Amino acid sequence: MSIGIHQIVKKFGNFSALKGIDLNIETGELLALLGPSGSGKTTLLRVIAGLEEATSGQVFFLGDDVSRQKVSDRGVGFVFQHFALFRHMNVLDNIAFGLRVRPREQRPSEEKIKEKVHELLKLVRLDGLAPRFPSQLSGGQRQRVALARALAIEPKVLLLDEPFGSLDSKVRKELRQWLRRLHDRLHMTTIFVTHDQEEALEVADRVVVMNEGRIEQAGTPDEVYHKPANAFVYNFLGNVNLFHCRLEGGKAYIANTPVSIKVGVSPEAQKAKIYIRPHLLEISRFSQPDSFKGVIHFLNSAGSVAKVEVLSEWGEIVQVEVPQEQFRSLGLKKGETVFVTLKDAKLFHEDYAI
Amino acid sequence: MFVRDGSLSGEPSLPHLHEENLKFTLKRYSALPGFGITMGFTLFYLSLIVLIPLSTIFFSAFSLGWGHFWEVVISPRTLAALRLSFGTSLVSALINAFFGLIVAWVLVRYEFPGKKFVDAFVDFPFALPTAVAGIALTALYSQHGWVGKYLYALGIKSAYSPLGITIALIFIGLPFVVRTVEPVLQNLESEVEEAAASLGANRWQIFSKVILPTITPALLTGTAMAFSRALGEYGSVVFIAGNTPMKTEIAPLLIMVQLEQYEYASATAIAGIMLVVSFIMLLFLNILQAWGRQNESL
Repeated sequence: MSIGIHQIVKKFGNFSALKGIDLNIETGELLALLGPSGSGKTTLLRVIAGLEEATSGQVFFLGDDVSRQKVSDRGVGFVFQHFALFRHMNVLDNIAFGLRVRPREQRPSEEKIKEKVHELLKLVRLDGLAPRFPSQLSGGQRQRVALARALAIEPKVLLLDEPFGSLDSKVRKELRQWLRRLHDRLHMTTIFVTHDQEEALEVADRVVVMNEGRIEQAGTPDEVYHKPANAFVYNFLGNVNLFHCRLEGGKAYIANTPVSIKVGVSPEAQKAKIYIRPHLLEISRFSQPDSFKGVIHFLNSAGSVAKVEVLSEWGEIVQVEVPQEQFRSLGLKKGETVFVTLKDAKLFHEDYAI
Repeated sequence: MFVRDGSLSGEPSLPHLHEENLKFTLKRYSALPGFGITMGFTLFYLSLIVLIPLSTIFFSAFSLGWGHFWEVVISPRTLAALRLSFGTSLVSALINAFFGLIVAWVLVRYEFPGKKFVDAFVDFPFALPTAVAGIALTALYSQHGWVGKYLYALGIKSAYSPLGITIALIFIGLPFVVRTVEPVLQNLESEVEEAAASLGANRWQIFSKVILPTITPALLTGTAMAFSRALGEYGSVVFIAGNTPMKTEIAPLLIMVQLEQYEYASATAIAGIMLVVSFIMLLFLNILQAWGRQNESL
């Protein structure tokens, strides 16, 4: 089911959580709302679900305005961050809840309900756990019960609020891949909220990056990662080094060191910011054109890449990621002098506070 | 497709309880010091304040001899008093359960001007000397009282009747239900109610299927406390009851009457029987609660 969001504004007292959101979500799309805490992503999800009423603006389901509909009438499956399972009910009763509260004439028979529950338990791979109570399940199992419960009402759209937020990192990695495969199978329009950029980029068809109640950028994981619309998006989607630089005569200078970066033609001296990811910096033992000099300050080679911190000649710490092979062949040691080259940096003229 | 086995199926199962050391020891190693001294004090204190005084009731009652004891217990006057006491206490506790829940609900769920005052009023029955409450209630509900004159006009005898006793017992029992239910209502996660709503439940279904089962243990506890308190209540009841033997004479009053007639053994016999019956009722309630709670420790 397609969802249209038109000029949604949500205020809590004087605080504007959402400042005019416009967004269209295609049928069958898996969309991630990504942003730091307080960016309004959860509020937007709750407005779509009907758990929160927008101060102004409309929400459309398949072109119908549902802005004034209550959550119980919208037919959405909502999965809460802390599961929100009914503790006094076992797994079976939890999942069957949405079917059992239907008006008598729409309610399936008890056998049909049980059949449906077992089907769902199989889908979320919890067969055999029907008689257990939530307190007897692990976090990952609880989350999947919550998902099965939401799916039981055959929702038109599935909304997940930080679905893996309270799980440990190994379980959340497994669960998010599993969610992706589940979506590929069910093709249900799904929106999930996360503050974890890795999760959003890995799972979603499309990522909506939010900040301070606005959408900064919406696009495929590739687009937002490689073509960030602004400094915020670039900065939020991974580690970055930030340099304040001066543009002069088609060249960028950090302090007084010229760096190799295309800046276009700038008629006069101008200030700008350079953002560069640690893996786009290259370390060498000898001076290269437009490289800067620094001293190795910290080394950590545990992991898929070696992390090196270089104290630059202008006195700032610069983070560099070096492939393990190169790290070994260079034989770097703490306190050594090295040269750093910028391979691919993003230049943002606007003054963006981070 | 969605087939990749191994990772999700191998979740750790819950440790089985019987795998644990089953050796029964009174004292387990604990980081908290002072088990010995605090436990010793607790036992000593409970014995001194509760158990020894209670046991003398039975010693004293049995000085009657079994035959005489039984005679006192099944005498029509005693049975009438016991029936009245247990009946009115039960009715008042049930009424308190219902209205106490509403009061707690309003105090937790809504913001309104004067909420703090309403909150404070709930504790009045705790603080007021019960005799004062009894006199005030009698003045209000007797034939010429503000409320009583309308009730009497309708043919309802609101004082010097079981109804009057029930009114007094409702008054003194109200705080128990409100104060036990309040914290549980406060701790109720709003997410759980939202989850129920998103699954299509209407307000009544959310209340009856989600909220009520969650607060039932606290509600039962509060009701049991109100009931116990009502059973032993004397001060506020004697004024409004009228105290006619066989009709409006409550068991605690009958005990007083026996004492005044120097029938100590009879008095303790009635006390003993009250004790046993209330003990059984509270035990039953506790078992009921433990049974309801066994799966919910999260």
